[in-house]
Amino acid sequence: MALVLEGIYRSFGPVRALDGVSISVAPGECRALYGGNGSGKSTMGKIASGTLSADAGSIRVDDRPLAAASPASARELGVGITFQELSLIPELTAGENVVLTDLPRRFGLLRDRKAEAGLAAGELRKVGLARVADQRVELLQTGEKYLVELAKALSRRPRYLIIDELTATMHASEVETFAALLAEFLANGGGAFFVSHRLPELRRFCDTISVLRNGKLVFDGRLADVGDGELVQWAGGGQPDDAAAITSPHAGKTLMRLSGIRPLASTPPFDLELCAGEIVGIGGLPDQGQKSFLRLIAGLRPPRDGEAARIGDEPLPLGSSAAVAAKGVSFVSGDRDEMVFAKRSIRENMLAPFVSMKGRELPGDSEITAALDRLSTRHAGIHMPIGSLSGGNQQKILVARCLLMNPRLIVAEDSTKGIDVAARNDVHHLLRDLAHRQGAAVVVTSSEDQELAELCDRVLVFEGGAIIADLSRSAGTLSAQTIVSAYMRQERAA
Amino acid sequence: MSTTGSGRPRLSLAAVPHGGSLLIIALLCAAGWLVKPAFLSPMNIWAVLAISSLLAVASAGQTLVIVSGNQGIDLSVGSIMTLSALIVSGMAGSSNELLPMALGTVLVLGIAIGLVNGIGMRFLGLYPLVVTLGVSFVVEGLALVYAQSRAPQMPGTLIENIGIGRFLGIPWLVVICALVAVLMTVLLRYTRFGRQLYLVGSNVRAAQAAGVPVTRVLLLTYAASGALAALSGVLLYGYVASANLSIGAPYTMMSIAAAVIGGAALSGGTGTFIGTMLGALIFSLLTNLLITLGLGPALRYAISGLVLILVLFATSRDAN
Repeated sequence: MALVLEGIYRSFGPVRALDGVSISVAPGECRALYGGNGSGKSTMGKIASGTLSADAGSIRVDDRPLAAASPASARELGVGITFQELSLIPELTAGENVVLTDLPRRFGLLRDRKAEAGLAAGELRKVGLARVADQRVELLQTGEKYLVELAKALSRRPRYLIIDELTATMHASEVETFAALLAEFLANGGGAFFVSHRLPELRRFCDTISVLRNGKLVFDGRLADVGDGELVQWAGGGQPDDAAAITSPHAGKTLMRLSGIRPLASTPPFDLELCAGEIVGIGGLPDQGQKSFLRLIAGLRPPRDGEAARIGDEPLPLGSSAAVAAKGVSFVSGDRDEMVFAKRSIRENMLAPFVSMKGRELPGDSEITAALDRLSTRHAGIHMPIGSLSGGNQQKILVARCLLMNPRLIVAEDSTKGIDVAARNDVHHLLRDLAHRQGAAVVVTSSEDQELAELCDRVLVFEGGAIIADLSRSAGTLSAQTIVSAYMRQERAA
Repeated sequence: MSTTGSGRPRLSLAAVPHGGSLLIIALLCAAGWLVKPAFLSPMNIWAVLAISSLLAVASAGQTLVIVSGNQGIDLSVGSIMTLSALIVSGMAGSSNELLPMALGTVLVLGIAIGLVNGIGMRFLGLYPLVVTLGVSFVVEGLALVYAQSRAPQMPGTLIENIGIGRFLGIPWLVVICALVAVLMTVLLRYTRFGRQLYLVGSNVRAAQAAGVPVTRVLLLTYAASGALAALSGVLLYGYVASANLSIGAPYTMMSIAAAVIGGAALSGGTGTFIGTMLGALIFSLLTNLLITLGLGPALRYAISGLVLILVLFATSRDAN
């Protein structure tokens, strides 16, 4: 009797998210699934609940196999899941959401609203929210929404529950409600996987822990036996960084001065200077204002009151991507939906930023080919549509485009997302070249702390739109380890 | 013409730019000749070319709007043509001297209406389908008001000559269409605006990220569409030699058909004016063929609709 996942493999494109991971949870047990960004813990939770399919491996629920990856058959077998980002439909009422997966019917066709309402009220009462049964979910507080999500998962009486991260903003009383429900669920013979990167939460709710790093299981045991320091170290890596520690001849010269920056509207503003020849990484937990910061300096988000920037001796016209690009700022994102003109040729894709710069010569075909060769990009001619290439090669073309522009500042948002290791290394080499040899400033984000530690000269860790740590290679404070501890420590203090 | 045409010489239809359209044109000509050898008489050929030239010019703006993507479509083409025909008829009438002023008026009006379309889609965040449909009703209303205040007149000699006259043996409509073709091709292939238009149409977010002034490009596109529709209204007035309230109406859908048959994807980002011209020619040849077969209007519409679906199925299905 247990929920057993054995030898789970899962790749996203060329990236191996899970590499033969086996974990299990028994009735009455709450097991923490812990790891840093991109460790594969959420993927594991989604596979256990049938939300994602595994490439290989088996999932057994009380010795019955989960044959196909489908949330419905996982529910049939008794596995439920709650998501941090919630699976509720905002336009429906809380009650409707709770009973949505199992609507009572009349004559097998019509909705039985009376039975529905009774059912929903009963389930919502357990989370103490019977009063909001008729309110639309979009009108609820975040914490209330999370409890509705929990009620929805519990309404099917699952024997195993996957908790894919708690919602960040919950009132203390709501956390108490959650704790009581979880305790009751476990006491009644339920088992739970608690996916999280927040140690205090895990310490409170879990007995056992499985630690993942880069898709591999690195520790499995009782939570009480290990200290926070060890856990953070396991999650953060510990392999030596092999970054090429080239010191840039340009280092130290300030290229960009930012003032009054507020990545999130609610945070106090900060000032920041970026130096020429330096690769600066922006790290931290997801959605702490990293994206907003990058988009601001790329001219893709309108500045808030007081936000200003200077590049060299001139002001940077924030809020206009065209004007910012004209000042020598080049933006590349790993979100190819936002970067690639799939129907147009490789050449047109490479020329796209030049098309809007007045007084700039369009690079010739030989320059384009040379830039592509520098990234060893495979292509069947620059007049082929870019959409015919693999994702990794499309990404390399986008980075090669930065090369053509000879930019002063490169803003790279998750620029190696979903590409294989070889392509990733090519991109890293090019960014280092641009910074260390040509003296450009580079600002990058990555969902992987290891990558930031390898690539960057300096990493700023963001939390709630503020910089909570400034780690630099020259001061010897930069490693995947220190990045993880920075954002984990903050969690502990909170 | 086509950016996908590879540099390698290959003797397949796909390697010839617009090979599909040219093949269909050849088939339609052959079918017409079989039915009635006079189908390929110089007189009939010029007649088909003239009417398809008119349709091609009327579809030029539509092509720009469809290439601009973002659900781009201009349903106000027909009503702008009607309004333009009525105003030129009312203002200039049979006088050639008043013609420049009338022409200027309709062009300014066309640009203004196009700008309203562009503003509606870009700033109000409305679907182009909805904005241009709404605007087309308003324009029809304006046309009605104008027609009530000034009765339409017969065109003057200049307009009439442009509609049905010839220059060196070539119908003026064909000459004008050739001029528009040169301008449109230069615009789309060689100007900054043209490059930006394809980028915006292909992926507006990526265009934004690459620093393309998306708003300006879209507004210019819709304004150009309005101006070109106004110009085609004048040509149509000359061709029909009278103006009435429903004169332009069929051109809304025909212009979309011509652009799409010509290879412009409704999802935006691809399309050329040469393609649209061939699309217009296919449409006109088909109608002409059905008339030659002696079919009445009802059957003609039905059959051309079905044939269009077949043609589109063969030439421009989206890959996914």
